Amino acid sequence: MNVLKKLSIKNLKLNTKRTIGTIIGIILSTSLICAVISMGFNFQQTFLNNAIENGGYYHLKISELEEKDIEVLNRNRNISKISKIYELNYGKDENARIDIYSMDIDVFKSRSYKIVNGRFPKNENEIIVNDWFLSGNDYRVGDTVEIPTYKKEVFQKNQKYKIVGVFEQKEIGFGEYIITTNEKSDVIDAYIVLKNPKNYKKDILNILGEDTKDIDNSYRKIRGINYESKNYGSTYNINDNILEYEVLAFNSTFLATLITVISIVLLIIIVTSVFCIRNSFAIATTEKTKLYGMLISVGATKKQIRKNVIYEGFILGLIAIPIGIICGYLASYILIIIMNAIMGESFLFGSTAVSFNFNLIPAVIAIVLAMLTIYLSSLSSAIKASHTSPIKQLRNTDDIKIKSKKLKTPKFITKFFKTGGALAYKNLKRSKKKYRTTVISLTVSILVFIALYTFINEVFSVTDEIYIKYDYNVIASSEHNLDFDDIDNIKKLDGVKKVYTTYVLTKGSSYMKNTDFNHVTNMDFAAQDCEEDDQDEEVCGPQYIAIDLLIFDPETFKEYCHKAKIDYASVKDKAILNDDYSDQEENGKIISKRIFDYQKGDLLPAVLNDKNKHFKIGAVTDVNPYGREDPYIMEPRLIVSFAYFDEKIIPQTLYIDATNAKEAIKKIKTINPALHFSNMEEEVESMRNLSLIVSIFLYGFITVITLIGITNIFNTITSNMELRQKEFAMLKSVGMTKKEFNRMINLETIFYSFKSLFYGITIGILLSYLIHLGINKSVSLKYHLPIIPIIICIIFVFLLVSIIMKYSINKISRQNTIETIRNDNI
Amino acid sequence: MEILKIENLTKIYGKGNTKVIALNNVSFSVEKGEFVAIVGASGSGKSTLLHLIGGVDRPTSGKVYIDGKNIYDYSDDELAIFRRRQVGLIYQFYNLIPILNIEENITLPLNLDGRKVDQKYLNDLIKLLGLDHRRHHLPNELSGGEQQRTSIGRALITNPAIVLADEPTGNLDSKASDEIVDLLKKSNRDYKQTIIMITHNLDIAKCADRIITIEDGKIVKEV
Repeated sequence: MNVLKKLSIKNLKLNTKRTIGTIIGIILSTSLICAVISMGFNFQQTFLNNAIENGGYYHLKISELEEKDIEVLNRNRNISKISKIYELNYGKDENARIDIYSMDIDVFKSRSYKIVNGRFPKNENEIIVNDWFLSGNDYRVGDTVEIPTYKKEVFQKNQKYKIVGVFEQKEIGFGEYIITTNEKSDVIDAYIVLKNPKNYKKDILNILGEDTKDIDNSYRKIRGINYESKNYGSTYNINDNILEYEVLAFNSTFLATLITVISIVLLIIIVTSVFCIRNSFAIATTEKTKLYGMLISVGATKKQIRKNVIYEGFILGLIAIPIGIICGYLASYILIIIMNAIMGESFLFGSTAVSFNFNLIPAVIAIVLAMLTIYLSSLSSAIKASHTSPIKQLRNTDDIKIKSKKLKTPKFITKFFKTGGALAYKNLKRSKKKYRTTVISLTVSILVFIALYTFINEVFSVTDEIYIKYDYNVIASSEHNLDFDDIDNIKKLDGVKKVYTTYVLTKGSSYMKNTDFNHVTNMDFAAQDCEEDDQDEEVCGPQYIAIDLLIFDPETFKEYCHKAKIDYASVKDKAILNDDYSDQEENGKIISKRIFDYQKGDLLPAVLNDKNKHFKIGAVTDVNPYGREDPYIMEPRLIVSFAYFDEKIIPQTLYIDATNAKEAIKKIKTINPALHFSNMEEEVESMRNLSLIVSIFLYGFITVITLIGITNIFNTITSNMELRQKEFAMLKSVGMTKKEFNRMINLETIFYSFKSLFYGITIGILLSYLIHLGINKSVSLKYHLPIIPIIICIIFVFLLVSIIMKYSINKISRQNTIETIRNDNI
Repeated sequence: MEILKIENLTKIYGKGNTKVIALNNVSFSVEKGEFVAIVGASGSGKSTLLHLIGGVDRPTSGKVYIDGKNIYDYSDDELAIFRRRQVGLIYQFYNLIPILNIEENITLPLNLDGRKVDQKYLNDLIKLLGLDHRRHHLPNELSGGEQQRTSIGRALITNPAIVLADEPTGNLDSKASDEIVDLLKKSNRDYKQTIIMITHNLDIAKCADRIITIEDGKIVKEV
């Protein structure tokens, strides 16, 4: 092996602590990069799994096909698989459609349907149904049912089917849904899986018979609403959900945001790592300037010196990068276990646990980035080393750049800290470059800590803020499936504290139109439309203000009055108007305004399902009613009690305040299984769990960045101390006492710490305020100075710097003074 | 035969008020096989002259011819290669690589040049230096004298055109100093090695064939 390579290896072995410190720094950076990218892939897979579970795995759906169309598709080389579902029935019921489909069991499974009871049908006389159908009609598994069947809207017969099972589907928007098998029709839904999803644009265009010359443009066209494709008209549907997560087809801002966040995080990691590793190399180069001077004096070329430094980096990388990669994958795996333990199965409101998806790409990217980091870090040191002046190094005159201007020490320093303090001050002033790295490392750790701490706190506060607004934790709703008996039974349940009920008209909409613009303060709320006037001419402009009519039962109405501090007796037969909204003035201040200027006692005219109505306003309030707590849906609401409302109504939604939301939902399901539930607790818990996980990530991230920083700081301070061994030995030899010496060291500690705290805290506070502004676009929270993280930083910084300096001093003081001064071979 | 020729060599450090003329228009020559001593007070410019001859530093003006070639026509890399092949440098403070053993320190210039070591020559040299029993020791395990002998070995291993010694006995006791001077005399006498040595010790200077006295950057006497 050539002598310079031998030198490199020997040097690394000799300076074990610094070598290990640098290796640890590289391991941390590499593992962080690997873990972050791996988590990105894990999330991608999880979201994909979630999308598959919710809607099945397919890329393109084409409806209303015939068998001959399927044959054409089968011949398309871009298609891997076609799942066929035969539509047997265009049935119509008075209240709901009954969809009957035929498919085989593989197709059933590919649609992510799950059998919850019984089995899949064996023939065309058996059916498996969804929960909606079963409970809505009071059927059981084993029953034989008669279902009116239709063909192209024309009644055929009442077909008998035996119910053999019940299935569950996650897709929303279904009514009653029946599946049988072994039956065919000439109306087929084809769920198409592409062979090469990465090529989805071209392949989908090809399947639909569209032009593939200008792919992006053509693809944009086919995504238009009601676009008629050449081959299949408008009966196709592209599964964006799957495509987004499978091939990162960015139609969703969420995914784009995730990628942006990961990129920013990676950038911070790389910058910090380059900084740390570069610092290690810089220290090594500084320590070896004399060595480089000697080598150059005996004839080593610049290229040889440069190669030597880079070779050292190569060795360190060879050891540290593989360890870092393994740690990165391990960390990612452990994080997933923790996340699943905390979130249970409610990750991001889906029901799939986060999955670990092993992929080589994080390792490849981490290796490339780490090698680049090491190369860049060592390059600047390599260039510096190769430009070492042998004369200056052999004469030791390069350490301090003497300025012609005399350096004055401030009086208070000499007064309080005496000679030791003066020496410390001069040292810091004259060797600024050496200390800059430590100060910057500390500053970065401090400001990152303060900023992220604020972010975490703000996220938790926002979650609390949203939760506090609700008076209930369960929402149960139904489309015509709820009756008064149900409500009474629910109210009697153990654990149900309060039930607020809203009603809807049995026929028509609960949205009214108000056309009396004299009382409207802001015409922006008016619906714009074009209508024909008396002369049959089309007139476009504001036509009406939509009003949300909320019908409560008397108890709920009373509770609302109590909440809004309105006298129930005086308004029970009248309407309560809630029409305030938030507006931003020119100076940026947010104030509350009203849409109307109706006052108590006024008559509010409205049109309800083409009938003219007048509502006497009993009160005006800014307290949002049940179910309308969201402050960002800005429309006027009129609340009435059904006891004094002369339209036919049925209950629609129950807002339930229960001791335990999960338990309450279980019990309510036994009363009416056809209800749809929202567990507000679960949603908030999900949000809190998500915040918790984000906190774990962020605190984990801060910890690793801080560790990299600490490695950096440890290296810088210890090596600076070692380089000053001779200086310390000389000071002792001329009579400096231990007390004076300690004073000098303590002052340097204070200087370091103050400087980094000053910059770190100032920038940290600025960042925390920006974060606060960013998060508080949606919720108004007061800004609080991040006192706790500031105190933590102050204590931490002083502790860290003192410990490291004291450790170095202890090591040095064990050495013999004279030997140190005499020994030039340090 | 002239091995070294210095022509109007000048070295100025700093500017304006801090300007220092370390060497002022110095010219002289050295024959092959000559042993020249350069003497002068502290700060007279002796070390500067030596470093300029060795190509370790560049002059403000003037030329240095070694073996007929002006070494300052070379680029930095060419100068480095020249230095490891044609110049042997011995310093007052040895300047050995602390993590290389004695043998490795001696063969360093050859290793940098990528040349194979003539094992017989190396063994003879180490024997001559009296370091046979110390060849695998590290510098910090050796006495000052032994370290300086190693330094001489490093200077001689490539059979350079010139050996430049900057106060080689400055850091040694009298016994070790005598050993070093003897070694230098031996290499000059037996191997016709051209040596230029800086010393402030006149007794040591008298061992040389010629003594050049420098004062304030100028040659004031040649004996």
